[in-house]
Amino acid sequence: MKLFPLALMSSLTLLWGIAACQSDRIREEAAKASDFVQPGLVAWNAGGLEGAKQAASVSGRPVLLVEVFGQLDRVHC
Amino acid sequence: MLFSNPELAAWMDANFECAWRSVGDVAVARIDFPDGSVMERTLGGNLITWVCQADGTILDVLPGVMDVRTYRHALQEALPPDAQEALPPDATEGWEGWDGWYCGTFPAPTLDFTFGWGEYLANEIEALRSSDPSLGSQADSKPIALDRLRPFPTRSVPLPIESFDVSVAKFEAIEDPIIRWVGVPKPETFEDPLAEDSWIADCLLHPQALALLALDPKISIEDLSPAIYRLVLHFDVRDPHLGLGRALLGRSDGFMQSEPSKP
Repeated sequence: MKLFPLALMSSLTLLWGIAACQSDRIREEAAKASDFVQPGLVAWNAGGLEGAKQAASVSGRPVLLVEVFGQLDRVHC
Repeated sequence: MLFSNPELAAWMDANFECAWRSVGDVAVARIDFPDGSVMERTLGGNLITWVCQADGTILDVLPGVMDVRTYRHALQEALPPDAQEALPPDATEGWEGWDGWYCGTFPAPTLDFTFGWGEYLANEIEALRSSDPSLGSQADSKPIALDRLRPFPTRSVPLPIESFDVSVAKFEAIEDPIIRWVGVPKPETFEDPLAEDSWIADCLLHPQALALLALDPKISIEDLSPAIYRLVLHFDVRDPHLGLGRALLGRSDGFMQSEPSKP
């Protein structure tokens, strides 16, 4: 009978640990998600260079391609 | 951030089909200060702006960082002539470039728009051909592989000029026609670091990039991009340390080894 409280404590500790890990993971994912930012106010073509070329063939406007190191839509780009 | 300027963004949307892409990862530096504060920022965030036609023909290439005013002016000059003429009369007001140094490049870049960097490049290529007969002569029209070229110098350089140029120089009453300086004089002071970066991008890097483009106006963005990064921006995209290893750690190259050294 003395083992019951010990087993209960162990289970609770395990559950608390899992919950803590889960909340850490959620926090990490939230932090990663918050790293995304709007890449300026320009209406960038979602299809990249090829998409912009296709749009240019219709609109007659020239293509403007910005090449960067990193990502324009990240905080640390 | 350049692309967060509402006026510039709206103007870009109205005149171009805009796209962006990443060409590699950027290095992030993190400094932990003794008081517990942390500073984190990116390093080496160079960018290149390309303007091309729907078939991929390059119209202009703008390496480096510019402020809004310079960037807008450079893009405006990159527009085809009919698009420039279609701009409202007041569209250009307040967007002048660096005292008129900038020249448009449409329909195809020529050496005239390179402020001497095209001639500098021609001299470099001629020297390469002289040192390596396998490259053939200029008459062979055999293109020089861009990876054989050395990066452009970061300052204006003296360039020997040919006899024809000497006569032209004399005609224009230049006292010493033996050499001339390639590039344009850099102002001694700037309002802020971004203004200096803008001047460098517009008056130094842009003409150098055009000189490379003039070697082969039909070259694709994919083929020219690595050369622009290496020769103009002095940034080797193949270097896993993004060119920062020696700059950050000086002669302590041992710290940069990716694998621990064996005893």
